[in-house]
Amino acid sequence: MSRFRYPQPPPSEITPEHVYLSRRDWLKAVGLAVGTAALAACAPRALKPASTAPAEPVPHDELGDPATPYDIVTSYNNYYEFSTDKRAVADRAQGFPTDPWTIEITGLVHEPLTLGLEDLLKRFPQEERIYRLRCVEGWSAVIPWQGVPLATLLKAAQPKAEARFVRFVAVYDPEHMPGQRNYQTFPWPYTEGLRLDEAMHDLTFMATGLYGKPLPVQNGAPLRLVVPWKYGFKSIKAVVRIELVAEQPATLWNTVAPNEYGFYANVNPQVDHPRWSQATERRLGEPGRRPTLMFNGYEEQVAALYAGMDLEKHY
Amino acid sequence: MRAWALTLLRHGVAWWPLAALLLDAWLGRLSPNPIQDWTQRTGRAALTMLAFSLSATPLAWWRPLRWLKPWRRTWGLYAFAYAVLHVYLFVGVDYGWRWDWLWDEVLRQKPYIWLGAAAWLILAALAATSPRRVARRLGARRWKALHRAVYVAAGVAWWHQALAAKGNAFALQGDVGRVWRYGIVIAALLAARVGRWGWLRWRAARRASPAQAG
Repeated sequence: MSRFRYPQPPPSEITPEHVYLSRRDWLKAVGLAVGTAALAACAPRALKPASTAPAEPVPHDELGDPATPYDIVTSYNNYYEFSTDKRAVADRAQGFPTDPWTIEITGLVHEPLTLGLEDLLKRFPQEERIYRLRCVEGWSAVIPWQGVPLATLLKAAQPKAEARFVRFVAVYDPEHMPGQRNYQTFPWPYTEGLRLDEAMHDLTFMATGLYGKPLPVQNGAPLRLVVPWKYGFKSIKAVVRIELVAEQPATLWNTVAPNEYGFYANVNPQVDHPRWSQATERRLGEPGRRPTLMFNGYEEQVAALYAGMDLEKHY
Repeated sequence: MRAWALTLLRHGVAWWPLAALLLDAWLGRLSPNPIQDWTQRTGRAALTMLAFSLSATPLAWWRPLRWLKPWRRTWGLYAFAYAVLHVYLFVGVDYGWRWDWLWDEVLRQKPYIWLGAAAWLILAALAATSPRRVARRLGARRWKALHRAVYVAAGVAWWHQALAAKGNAFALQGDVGRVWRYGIVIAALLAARVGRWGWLRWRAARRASPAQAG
């Protein structure tokens, strides 16, 4: 398997937050642009992007697309534990206790680990990755993360030969997570899973921060999975346990709606969600749509993992 | 009530959703996905105006509210206007007139698109036959039969909304409260019409054969 070297910008190229247009100004510009387009229906013209060009260069992904502004990334979140309303999550997440936080790496390993978050940050060097995030709902973003490759953590625990899958478990805290009280049809806590080779892939990442800051609660503080070639729901937030197992583990969305959300959930413009097409997406901060890329643009790096598999069947 | 106040009410409720949208856009209160806000909120306004329109007749059965009956047409036309805006936003602004992408979406038989399109076409037919001149030419009986399709449009539009909503409305998972509130209101309005029709028929039958009743 070829090793993928991820192009990383030096920290000096990361734009300080104040340079970005403030959220309010940006929303006003684009919201009104849509409205103007809507009301000028008699004279249809392509919607012009609002003037959002910042004064200094913003970080870009390797395809040349700019990172989504911090204010958007931290105010538009799918996190049912707090709310099904993406815009209400950030508010309701305030005050969620993430300190102290313990993470266990357990199951079929030779060296089970129990780490406090500070231990993890001290023991493993942090890296930066700029990844595209594609939500199964049809929107996307580009996010500069900091964190540790999952493979680094797994190797520290030394998986046993019979380990085939990795199971992730998120925190269960109904006292602070209203969604775990209110949405009784979901089997809380949130769980996710990866095949071991997917988990060991260079791109698979455990994020502890974004835009050079500690991870905000609404983005999965203090520690979350990021699997950039899969739909966002695979990237489980607020992880407390990583378990190596022999059988494919049950995952939350696959349990709730197996016909809509598969175990693999690879981004794939050819395979539709039963209720909508996945061929295009809206990039947050951009007007209109863009085509969705196979494996979210990481085909070169990950296609080999699925050689010979029927991706219609293993969606 | 004064005439001007009634006119204000009649048109004010219809303009409110658009005014609120523009206000939210002006104040920067839309989400980072503003096209979705615009599309969803104009669609919801269309369904709301449809429910308002369907409520005019049952409310007008109560004598002090008789004057409400013609408002069903006003509100029905506003519903169609919002539906036009909704479709324009989807096709023109969201998809930027990319017919190849849209065709893909439709060709792959996403039921929510078909249902939305069906509801839109019914509303278009009702709007087209709404002017008195056209209605007269159609004849009262045929006009009435055609305009009963407004209930079909409401049901189909509701189904369209339920399929596009977050979560699974039919398994009561996710963000489904609003979908079901709309569903209950629309079903109740239809039940009111059917119920009254049944009751009037039953009463007429009783009156027609007083011997048996006595």
